[in-house]
Amino acid sequence: MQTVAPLHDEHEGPHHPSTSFYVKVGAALFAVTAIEVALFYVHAVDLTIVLYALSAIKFAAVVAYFMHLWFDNKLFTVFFVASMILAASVITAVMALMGGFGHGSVPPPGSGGAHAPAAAPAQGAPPAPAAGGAATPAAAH
Amino acid sequence: MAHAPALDHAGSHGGGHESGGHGEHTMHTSTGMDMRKLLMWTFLASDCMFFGPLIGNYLAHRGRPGAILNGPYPSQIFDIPFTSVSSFVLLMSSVFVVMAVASSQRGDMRATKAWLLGTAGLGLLFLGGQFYEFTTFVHEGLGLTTNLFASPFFVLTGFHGAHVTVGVLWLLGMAWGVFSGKITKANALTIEIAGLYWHFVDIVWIVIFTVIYLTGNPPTDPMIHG
Repeated sequence: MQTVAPLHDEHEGPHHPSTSFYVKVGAALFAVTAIEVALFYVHAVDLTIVLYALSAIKFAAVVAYFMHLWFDNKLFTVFFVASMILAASVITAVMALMGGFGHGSVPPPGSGGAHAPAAAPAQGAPPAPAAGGAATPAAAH
Repeated sequence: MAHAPALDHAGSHGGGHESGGHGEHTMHTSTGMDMRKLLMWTFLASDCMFFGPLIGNYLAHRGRPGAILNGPYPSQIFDIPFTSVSSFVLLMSSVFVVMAVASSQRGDMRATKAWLLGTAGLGLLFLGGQFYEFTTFVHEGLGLTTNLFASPFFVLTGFHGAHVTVGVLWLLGMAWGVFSGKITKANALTIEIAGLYWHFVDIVWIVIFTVIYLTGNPPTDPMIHG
């Protein structure tokens, strides 16, 4: 069958990064992962944002260079970025609907008992009998 | 309007150039791109929507009061050095598969086969690590329904493991195709498409590793917060 040249192929075929480029990107990914693991053991400050940022850098590097998105037709980028935005929206929506935001303000159980939450009653747990005249916390509902 | 594009045939002559396949048919599509590659990107976009709610579900329950009424806390059970090695293995497999794609586009099918088998091997190593980790967790008292940390964790990582398994089988199939001569430089796009799937599996793990393992200790974890 006679082949026909595609309409838009300016990014296909001829432009491929060299093998050494892929190795360098791989080495960079390894280094960033090692930094992430090292930062995990730093408890002095909360480095969650830094870890997320490093993870995002690795994510972008794999997508752009290994998945060839940087060199390919921009329609692929549109597809993928749109899906990322949608997925992030879904994550945010799920967290908002299920009260996933604001857990950081919950005091650690050590202030009121090993596993008992400070105020919220345990789900499904039978009410504890009052002891020493202490009133049983009223159920939320 | 263009007629329906014909499927590529391995080894066919022509001026195809989709990702270096000089011998394959070029599809006359309205976008100018091979529809199979576009389909894979569409599938990966849909798979983002699959993992998004699972990650959201995990984040929604993390640190929730009463989420871990029984069973171990993440800090008591996670073996970060072990999981870090698993992460390195999966990262290295991504490097291997991109080497396989590059080799196939150059026409070096012997190297392609080696890189594909190496990638599959690393994938199997990762799966072995996951299996070991899951069984260890179960032995230490963390099962699928133990608490609201365990359920999202096992579902999310379990589905990721299933994706890796499919990827390993796919790569082994690709290696067989190269070995049997069915996959050549002419249809190197098939290896590139398999590579796209494998890289996606890797980037999902990048997210899981950070969200669950590195930052997954909830504020109510007494091992961390006293």
